[in-house]
Amino acid sequence: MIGILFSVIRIDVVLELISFAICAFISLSFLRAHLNLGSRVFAMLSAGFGLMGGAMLVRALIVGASLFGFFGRDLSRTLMPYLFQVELLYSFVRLTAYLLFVLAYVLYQAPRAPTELAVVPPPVLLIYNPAFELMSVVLLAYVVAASTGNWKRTNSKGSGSVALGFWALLASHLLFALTPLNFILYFAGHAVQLLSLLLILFGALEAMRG
Amino acid sequence: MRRAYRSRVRIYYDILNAVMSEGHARITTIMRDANLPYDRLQRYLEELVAKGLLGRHQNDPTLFHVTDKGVRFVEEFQRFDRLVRAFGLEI
Repeated sequence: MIGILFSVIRIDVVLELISFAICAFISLSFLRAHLNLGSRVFAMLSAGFGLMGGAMLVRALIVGASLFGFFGRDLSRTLMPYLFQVELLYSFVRLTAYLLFVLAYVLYQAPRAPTELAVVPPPVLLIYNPAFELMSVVLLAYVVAASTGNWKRTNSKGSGSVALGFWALLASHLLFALTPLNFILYFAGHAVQLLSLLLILFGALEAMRG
Repeated sequence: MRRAYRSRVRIYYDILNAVMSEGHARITTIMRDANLPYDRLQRYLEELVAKGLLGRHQNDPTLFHVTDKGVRFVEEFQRFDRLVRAFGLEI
């Protein structure tokens, strides 16, 4: 039973590594834009996706190394006691990435129609797991509202895909938060997280293609 | 929250776009099209010439043209502007 469970758990490491690759691609695209144009909004988005991807990579490698002995039994034994700290660091870095997204929307949001209600930034609190998931939901709610408003205004395929991507990212954190109800929700969360990044990537490529 | 000012990079784009749309342009035309006062425009024009994005006409230094590097900057700006607008943000 435990063997089957562990063979299933490997899926989250694989999904997280794929998500890392997508995050890295999006981050590098924004970094290129920042280097070419020198605009801070690109630096913020690049750092946000870079931090997300970096956290995913480190977590996937350390969890893979300690639980499944990816890099040998000695390293596995060495890393095992630090899994809690890795989870703590992962949560902190992910929240920092979401804070950067919120900051980008607060500082660089495209002009809205005067009749439209402004999206008020949420109070910023940094709380460790399991509140991390709920905190992520609160922070992402702001990003989701802003990107959905943009989709309604522009009605373009690219902005629609980006908005749906942020919706999916928010949904993935809700699924992670509900993991105690059913363990399958944890894997569903990872799958939805991967879907969210694919949607954001598609939106970015669609927008750049014009 | 909307920013009440244009970023430096957007002002560069507006100036280059104003010059490009005319082929060659003098300060008064750029002032009108880029919506900038004379003193600020002078400063930005010097910066753009120093960066190699804008050139002065050999026989008439008051006439500006966009260099190849400037054209590439405009194209990159338009591409990345579409990208950031898909996120509901602006440069």
